[in-house]
Amino acid sequence: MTLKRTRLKSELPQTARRRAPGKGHLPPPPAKVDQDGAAAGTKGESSRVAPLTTTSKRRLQRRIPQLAVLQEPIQASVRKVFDLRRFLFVIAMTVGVLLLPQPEGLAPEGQRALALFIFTGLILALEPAPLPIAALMVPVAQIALGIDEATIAFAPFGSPVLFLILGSLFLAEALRKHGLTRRLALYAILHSKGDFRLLVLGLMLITGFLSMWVLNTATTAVLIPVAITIAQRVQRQEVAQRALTILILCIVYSASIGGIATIMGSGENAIASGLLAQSMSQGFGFGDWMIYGLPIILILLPLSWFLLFLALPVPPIVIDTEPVSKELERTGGLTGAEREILLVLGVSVTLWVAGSSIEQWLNLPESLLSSAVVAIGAVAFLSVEEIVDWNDLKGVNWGVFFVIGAGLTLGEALNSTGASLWFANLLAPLLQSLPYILILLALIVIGFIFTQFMNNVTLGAILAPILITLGEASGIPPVRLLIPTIFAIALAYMLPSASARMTLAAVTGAIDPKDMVRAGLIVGIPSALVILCFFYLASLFGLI
Amino acid sequence: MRIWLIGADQKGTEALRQLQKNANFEVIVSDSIEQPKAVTEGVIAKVDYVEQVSSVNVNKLARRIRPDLILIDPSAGQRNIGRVTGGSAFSEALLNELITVSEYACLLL
Repeated sequence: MTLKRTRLKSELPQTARRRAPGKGHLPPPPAKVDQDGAAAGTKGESSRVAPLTTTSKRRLQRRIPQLAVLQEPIQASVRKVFDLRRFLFVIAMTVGVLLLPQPEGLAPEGQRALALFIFTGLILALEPAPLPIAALMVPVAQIALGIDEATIAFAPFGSPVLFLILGSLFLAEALRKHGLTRRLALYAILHSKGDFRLLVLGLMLITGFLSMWVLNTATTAVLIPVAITIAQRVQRQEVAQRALTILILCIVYSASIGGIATIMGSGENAIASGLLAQSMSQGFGFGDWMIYGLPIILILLPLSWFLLFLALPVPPIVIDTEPVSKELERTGGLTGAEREILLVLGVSVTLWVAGSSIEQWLNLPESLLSSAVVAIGAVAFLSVEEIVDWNDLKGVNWGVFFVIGAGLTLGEALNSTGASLWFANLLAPLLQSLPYILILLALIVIGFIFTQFMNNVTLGAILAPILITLGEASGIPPVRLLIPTIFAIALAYMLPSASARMTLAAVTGAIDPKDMVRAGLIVGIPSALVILCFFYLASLFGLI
Repeated sequence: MRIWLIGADQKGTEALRQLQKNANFEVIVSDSIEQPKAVTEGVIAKVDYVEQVSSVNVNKLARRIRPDLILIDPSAGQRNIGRVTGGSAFSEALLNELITVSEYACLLL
C-alpha cells in the first residue's frame, strides 16, 4: 500500500540510521525490503541515507494512515457505570403503570406483571447499569412487586436452555483460546487463492458455521481483526477501505445468519425456545428449532454474499495469500488441543441433533442426552483434558446468560399472573380476522425495524412471552408467530445499536455510517422477505 | 536495549516500574490517550507517542522507533473497548493480530 505523505515539512527516514559510537546502542537498519515495499515507494529511496531524526508526536499525528481504522482511540463506551437518571426514569415508568387504573379483565397481580414488563424492557434497553446487573434486577423487581417469591423468581435461571448457552460460551472460549477460529478463517483465505469474492464467501461460510454452535458475538469478535489484516494487503487505499468494509460486514452478517440456525446461536433463540418448551405439551427441542433454522441460513448466506457486493461494489481484487500460507506453515498443522476441540464439537453437534433418538434406542434415562447435558459434558471433558480451565471460563460473556434468564423470568411472570393472556385477548380478535400472511408480514416488519434500534436479545426477551400467549389466545400455533419474528430480529444490520456484533463493527471506525445503513437495507430487506416467503410456504404445506 | 511499550495502563505501569530498575533499558512509551495510568501515577512524566497502535500501523511505527522488543499492555486495549459485549475477546484478538503482523519481537504482558 502506498503511504500518502502530505504536508510534511521534512522527509522522514524509512529506517533509523545507526547512531555514532558511544551515543547509543541501536542495531544497524535491517537489510530486508519492506513487506509492502513496492507500494511504499522505497525502491528508489532504499539507497538514500537520511540522518537520524527523532520522530515527533506531531509528525506521527499528521501522517495519513494506510487504512482509516482504529486510529482514533476506541471509546466505545464512556458511559458512567451507573446512570442514576436512567434508573430513576425506569422506576418512574414502572410506578406509573402501577398507579394506572386497573384495566378491565386484568387481575391486580397481572397489572403488577405488566409493570414488571415495562421495568424489564426499559432497564434492558436503557442499561442504567451494566447489562448483567440490569438483567439481575428483573427477578429482584419481580419479588419487590409481590408477583412471586424468591424461589420462583430465580428458578428460570436454572433452566436447561441457560446451561446450553453457558456450554456454548465455554466452547467459544476454547475455540478462541487455541486460535481455532482464526485458523479456520486462514484456511478459508488460503483456499480462495486470493480471489476477494471467494475469500468473502469462504469467510462467511466459516463464520456462519461457527455461529451456529457458539454465540455469534464471540465469533465476530475474533474474526474482525483478521479482516483488518486481510484488508492491509490490498494495494490501493480507497479499494482497501471498501474491501475492509465488506469484510467486516460479511463477518457480522454471516454471524447473525448462522446464529439463526440453532438455539444456542443467539440469546433471543434461547429465550424463545425456552418459553416454547414450557408452553408446548410435546416440548420444543434442539432439532425442532433446526428444522426451520437450517434451511433459512442455507438460503440467506449465499444471498447475503451476493447482495453485499451489490450494495458495496468493488473492482476485482486479488489478495496476496503468501503471508497466510507462511503463517500456517509457521504454526504447523492442527495441534492436539485443536483436534480435541474439533472432535468434541463434532460429537456435541451429533448428540444435540440426535440425542433424544439415541436415548430411546439405548434406553437411557430421559434427558441424559439433552442439549444442556451434552453442552456441559463437552465443557467438562475439555476441562479434564486441560484444554480450558476456570481462568479461561471466567472471562466469558456472562451478560447474555443473565439477560436470557431475565427473559425467561419475565415470561414466567406474565404467564402465571394472566397478564400475557389479557394482552393477547386484546389483540386476538384482530389476529383471527387477518390472514396469516399479513400477520407474518406485520411481525417481521416490527421485528426488523425494532431490532435496528434495540439489542436483539433484549427485544427477544420482550416479544417472546407476548407472542406465545397471543398465539394461544388466537388459535394460531405460537411457533408460527414467534419463530419468524425471532429470525427477523436476527437481521440487525443497519445501526451500531442493533446488536453487539454491529457495535464491534462500528467500534473499529472502519465503516462509514451511510455504508452501514445502505448495506443493511439492501441485504436486510430481501432477507426479511425470504423469511416471510419461507414461513408462508411452510404454513401452506402444513410444515409449521 | 530499546523497548517499545504499547499501552501504559495497569500492566504497562507495573512493567515500567520494573524496567526503571535497569538504566540500560531505553523505554519508549505509546498509548492511545495522553494520560494513562503510568502518567497519572507519576511513573513517567508523559507518553512519548499518543497513538492507537494496531496491526495497521505497528510496523510503520516500529521502523521509526526501532525497538529491540515490543511489550504490549493488554489492559490498555480493554480500557478502550469499554463495556461493549464481546469487547474483551475483540481487544485480545486485535492484540493477537498485532503480534502476528509485527516484524519485531513482541511480548504480551
